[in-house]
Amino acid sequence: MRFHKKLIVSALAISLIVGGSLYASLAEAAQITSRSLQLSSNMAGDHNVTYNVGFSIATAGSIQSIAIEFCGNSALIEDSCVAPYGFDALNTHLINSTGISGFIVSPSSTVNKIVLTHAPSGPVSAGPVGFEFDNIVNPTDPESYYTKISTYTSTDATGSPVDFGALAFSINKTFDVSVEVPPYLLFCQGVSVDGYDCSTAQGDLLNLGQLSDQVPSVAQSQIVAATNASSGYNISMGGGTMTSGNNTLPPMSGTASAVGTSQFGINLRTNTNPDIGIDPEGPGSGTVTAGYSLANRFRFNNGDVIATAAGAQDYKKYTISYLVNVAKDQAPGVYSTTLTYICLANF
Amino acid sequence: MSIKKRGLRLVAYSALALVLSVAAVLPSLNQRAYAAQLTSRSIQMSSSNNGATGTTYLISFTTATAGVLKGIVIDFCDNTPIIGDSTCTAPTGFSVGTPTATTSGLPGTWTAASANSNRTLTLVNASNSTSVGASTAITITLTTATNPTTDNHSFYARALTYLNSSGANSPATYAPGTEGTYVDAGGMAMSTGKVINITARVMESLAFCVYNASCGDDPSMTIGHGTNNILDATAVDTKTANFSISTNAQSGATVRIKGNTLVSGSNDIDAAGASAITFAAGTEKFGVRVSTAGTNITATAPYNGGTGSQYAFNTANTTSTYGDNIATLSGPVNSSVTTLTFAATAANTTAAGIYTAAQQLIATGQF
Repeated sequence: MRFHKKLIVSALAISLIVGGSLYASLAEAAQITSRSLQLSSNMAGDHNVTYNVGFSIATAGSIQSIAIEFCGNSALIEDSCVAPYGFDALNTHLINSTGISGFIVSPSSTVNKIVLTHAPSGPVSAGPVGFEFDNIVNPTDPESYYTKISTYTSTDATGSPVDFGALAFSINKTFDVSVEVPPYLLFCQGVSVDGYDCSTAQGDLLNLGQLSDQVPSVAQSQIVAATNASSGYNISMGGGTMTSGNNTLPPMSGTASAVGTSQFGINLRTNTNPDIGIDPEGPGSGTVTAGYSLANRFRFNNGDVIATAAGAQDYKKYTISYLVNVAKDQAPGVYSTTLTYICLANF
Repeated sequence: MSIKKRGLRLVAYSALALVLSVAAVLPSLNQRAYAAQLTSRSIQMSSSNNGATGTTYLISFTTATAGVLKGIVIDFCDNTPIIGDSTCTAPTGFSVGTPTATTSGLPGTWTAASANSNRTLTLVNASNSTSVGASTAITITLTTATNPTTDNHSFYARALTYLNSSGANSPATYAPGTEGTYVDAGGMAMSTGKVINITARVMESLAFCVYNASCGDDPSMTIGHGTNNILDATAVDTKTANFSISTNAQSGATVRIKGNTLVSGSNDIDAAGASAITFAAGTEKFGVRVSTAGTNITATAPYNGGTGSQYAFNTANTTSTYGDNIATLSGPVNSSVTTLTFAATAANTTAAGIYTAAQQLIATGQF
């Protein structure tokens, strides 16, 4: 019994002496300054993350190893380190170092402690250094963590540290920024449209007046189209030629205006004979289809596609010119037609 | 039997009378040793640390008897403050040093000296001819003392005043138990203490939170307008997110943004670029700016709003390994909140789809 008491007292005394001297030696370590840790990702649990540890060595000399330890509980030198849950640096590589050379990752490294050993050994200068490691797995929980940096004269980061410093870093969640762009087709028509603003489209009646065998009768209307459809759009025309009862005006087939010949046609170009129409306007790349794309040539065929666009299109304004000529023997009457333009977007 | 009893009584009464006589005589013997007791006695120490050197002792007392004082003794004892006790052992480690003392309440200049192997402080003014009145407050400031070297240890001082500066009945002939004739005297007690070491451990800290309304919520956002919260060419739409940072990093911190522009499959919304620009509805853009900088936070160009409410998003940097610096913190701060405004607008030709961009804000403390 007395022997046991002596043993316990002796053990206590030894532990106090050892502990005290250890604390004293820890406390004597010089402070590592300018400590920082850059992460390529601070997303919780992220893999293949690059860590860039920077600090300034305070004590030059025979630094043979450096320990970079990641802790979830404390940044204090005297506290034992609890590995952050999920953190894994076992498979990391030293991919870059600045301000210092000759250090490699030691096999004695653990899941949360990277030990760099100086091979071959040699003196180390005081000053700023940086070590960049890849292939690290971030801690699983988004919160603050600590990194302890120690330098040693031993080659395996054992013994009392020469310099010590710590830092804190934060693991967070990412956040998403999102937008929804809906399928979009802008299409309007009228006798006139101001700019590309469909709210200004007005008029749905073209009056060609008194037809004459001496001069062509002309009129125009306008269409604006735009879409974000990936395959663009087709604008087609529906309706018949101008009629009055059983009497009709023959549709044109890409021919020029012939005064004194009954004919009805349209095109989408700037014409000089007769003077009517405007070429397509606007930033879009839509084009007028063949048959309606030649100046001074007119055509009318029910169901024809008059303009097409490949891919998403910005604004395009098409001006449709209408041409009517009549022969002397054209039957009198009020000739009319109803035309419908249909824009089909291909998403 | 009765004679025996009477005899015993006589012896007993005689003994009692003798005891009472002695008790009555003793005070008169004491009265010869000193006239009266110094009052309001105290010694204030500038340090109670064991072994502290150069310690100042402020010795205070008030005279009881008027007289032309020429000598004072302050004797420091480990065992007793009682005047007349012949044993006065110096406290271990104690010393009055080579005394330097100043006085108040006493006339003229007083010369300090040590005696008894630096245990005793003496002060004399041989030329004094001025009477010090009764009830005079006197202070002696000794600045050269070395404290006893034992923690939490009581020790004592004896103070005596004399009419002579030398010879008999003076500090020169003072010795414990043979103090001679003095004017007034009194004892004091004091103690060393133990130094209290207070240690506080402050760890490096960096608390960083990205949120919408309060820390912990999801700051993810959908930028748009209208009932369906869509993005189109008619408006520049915005949404905000906040980050708070608290750190004791003495060199502050940097906050970087990492992520790509808005993407939907193979389509994307054009990033604003490396320069702050003004967004125009219908011209496809995505960007961000620091709209409200928190305490000690400085927005980094081009994310500082440019010439106004301008936006930037430099994908060359935001998609790099560590992202693009969007704000810097100049020093330690507690809960500095900064607001980021993300903006986007679509063109007519922006392909339909749901565009997303995973963004990270990464804070790096400079400790």
